[in-house]
Amino acid sequence: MKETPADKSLEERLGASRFSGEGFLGTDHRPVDEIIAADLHALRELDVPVSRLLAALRDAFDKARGALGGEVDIRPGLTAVAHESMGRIPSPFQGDGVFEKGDVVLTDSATGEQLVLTALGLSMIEKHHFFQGRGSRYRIEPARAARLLGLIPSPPPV
Amino acid sequence: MTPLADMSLLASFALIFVSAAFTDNILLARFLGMCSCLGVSKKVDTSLGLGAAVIFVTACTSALNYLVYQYLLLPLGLDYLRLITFIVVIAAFTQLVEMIIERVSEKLYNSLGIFLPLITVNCAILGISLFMLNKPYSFLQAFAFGLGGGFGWFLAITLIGAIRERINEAALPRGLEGPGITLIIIGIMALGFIGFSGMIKI
Amino acid sequence: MLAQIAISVGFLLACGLVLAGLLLLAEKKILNYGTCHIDVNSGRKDLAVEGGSSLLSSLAENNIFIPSACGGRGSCAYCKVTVREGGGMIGPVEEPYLSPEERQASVRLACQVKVRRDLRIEIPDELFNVSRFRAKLLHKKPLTHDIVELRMQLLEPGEITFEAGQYVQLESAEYKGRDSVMRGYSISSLPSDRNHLELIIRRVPDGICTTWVFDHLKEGQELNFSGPYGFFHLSDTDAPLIGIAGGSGMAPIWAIVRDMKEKGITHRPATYFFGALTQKDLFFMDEFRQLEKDCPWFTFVPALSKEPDDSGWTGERGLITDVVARRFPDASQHEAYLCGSPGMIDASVAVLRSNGMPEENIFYDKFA
Repeated sequence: MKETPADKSLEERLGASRFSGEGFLGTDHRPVDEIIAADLHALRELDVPVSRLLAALRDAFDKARGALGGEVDIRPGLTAVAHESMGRIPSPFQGDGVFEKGDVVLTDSATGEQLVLTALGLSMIEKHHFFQGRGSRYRIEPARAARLLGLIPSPPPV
Repeated sequence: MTPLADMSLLASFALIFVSAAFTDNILLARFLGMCSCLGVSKKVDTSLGLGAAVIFVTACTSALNYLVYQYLLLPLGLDYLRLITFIVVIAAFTQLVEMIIERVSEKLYNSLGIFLPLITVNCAILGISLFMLNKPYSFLQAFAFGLGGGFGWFLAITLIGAIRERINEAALPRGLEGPGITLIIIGIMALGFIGFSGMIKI
Repeated sequence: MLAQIAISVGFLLACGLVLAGLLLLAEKKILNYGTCHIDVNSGRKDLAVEGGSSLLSSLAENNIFIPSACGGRGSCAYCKVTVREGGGMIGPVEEPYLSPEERQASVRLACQVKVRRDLRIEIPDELFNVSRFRAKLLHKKPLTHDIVELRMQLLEPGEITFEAGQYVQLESAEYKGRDSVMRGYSISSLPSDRNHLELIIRRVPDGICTTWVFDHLKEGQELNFSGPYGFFHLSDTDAPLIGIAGGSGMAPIWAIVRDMKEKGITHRPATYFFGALTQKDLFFMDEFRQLEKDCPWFTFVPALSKEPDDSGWTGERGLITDVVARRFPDASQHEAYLCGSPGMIDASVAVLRSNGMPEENIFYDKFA
């Protein structure tokens, strides 16, 4: 399918580049539009608005960032650690600007499940509802994020 | 004897324009130019840009191809080569126009020029050049046919873009998102355009 | 029959050749902008460049290196320059990055301005000082489990002039399908050692450049960098100093303090707070202790935030910002020099401000 020059260059910028060694799409072969639509759909099914998930993610991110590398408890069973790194990374979406680097890793102490948050990642969710492609280290799987942050009840242990 | 022969120049010009744009809409009645339409009709503003580029290119290339056909291919007895010749002429023309626009005006290039590479090889444009040969048109009538055909495509993609902008906000079944629902929209619009058929017969 | 074939083949051939020729001619005639002149800073430099490429790359070809993190994609907005004449209209890519004031002042992104005619531009004078260096890696010494020190011998040009606190952009080589990238690192060596350069680099998980430094770069290998950049350096006031940095952020402070000692600046008391998690993240401890002994005006305060309570650590404990607040309840007369992650800088600025330090006395480099 033919694409507008803008869409095409966005897809190129979302791939591996000089700024993101792995790119933002991971192993996902779906077009960006479809990734966004599917994630929004998943959140609708769970009845969790993007704004609510984003607020919870941002809250966890800020708490960990303020602890300067120390571990903080976000909620019972969920800890967060900020891994500092210097420098900035430009957003693949043109016009969004540059963002500080550095990850915040959320870890579920019971299952070991992890989510990796970045300032750029949160901004892409806010502005474009883009949660990154499957297989990316920084992918925020909406259902998993909502569950880890306690926005939806966890399934009973099997 | 053709009915067009006894009409005034302007009247035949207008009639051909309207018939090419509505009754014979290249996108909705002939289903040509579907690929770029599906890819680009996500938003109204990109649809407008691509549509305008298509109008310009179809109008110019149909006139150009008319001349090539009448004064080169027919005298040489090579009219079976029209398809391949038209493709090359259209491709060269769009490339040339892109270069000129880039040089002349940055503004025009940003709004129109960036779409030209997208329609270098586009079946709607080739289709208009080929269909025009089915009728005994004069040079100006061929130009009108190209202009009308391009306008029809412009109209269709702009409408589709506007509908898609609205429908993207709605909760669609997963499998229908994107191109799926667009094809359905195009189908329904094509049914609507059937209403025009038979209104003008030329 | 044969004639028919000959005619058709001949026609197609002629058709193709004519059109291809036309396009080639057009490309030569239409897309050729000829030689354009770029006047930099009202006559300080006049460059003659081939038109048609971006201002950023045209300047780089003439050894004027405008800082750019994105390499000309129009997404980092670092390469802002003032284009007085000939810049054309603001393109859709740069539009979101330019404030109304900047538009008023004819600020443009150098990577998005195409050289089509003669230009008049203005850039900060410091950028004339920036060159691209070729150097040989003398040693790569681990300082902690995730920090190394690089020491390089400059080859071409063989000397560098900079101020303690500035940084360079190191270019990584291609490896495992990853492109060559440029990343900024503060210089940790002294300005007086003009033939050498030292950097302190911390490993970033998945980092393109640091992975190259840690896993691929070998001693004796040649490498490239450009610099010096940045406005982070010692002010010329008499105010006492507070330095706050952790990890590889120590580099510029390490350079500044030793530079002060070398230049005999003894009237400005300086305190350096080194924040880390545990003892295994500390380095240069002996060097700083020695510096403390040699210079009565210098105090060194390492502080650990995650050191187990039962370890033998006798120094400060807690978040570095809390330690600073404890030691300097009134910081209104001091100047602060910060280097570290954005989170640490934000937290430090908040503490210093609430302890009375004016915002304009807090220095940190924006690249961090």
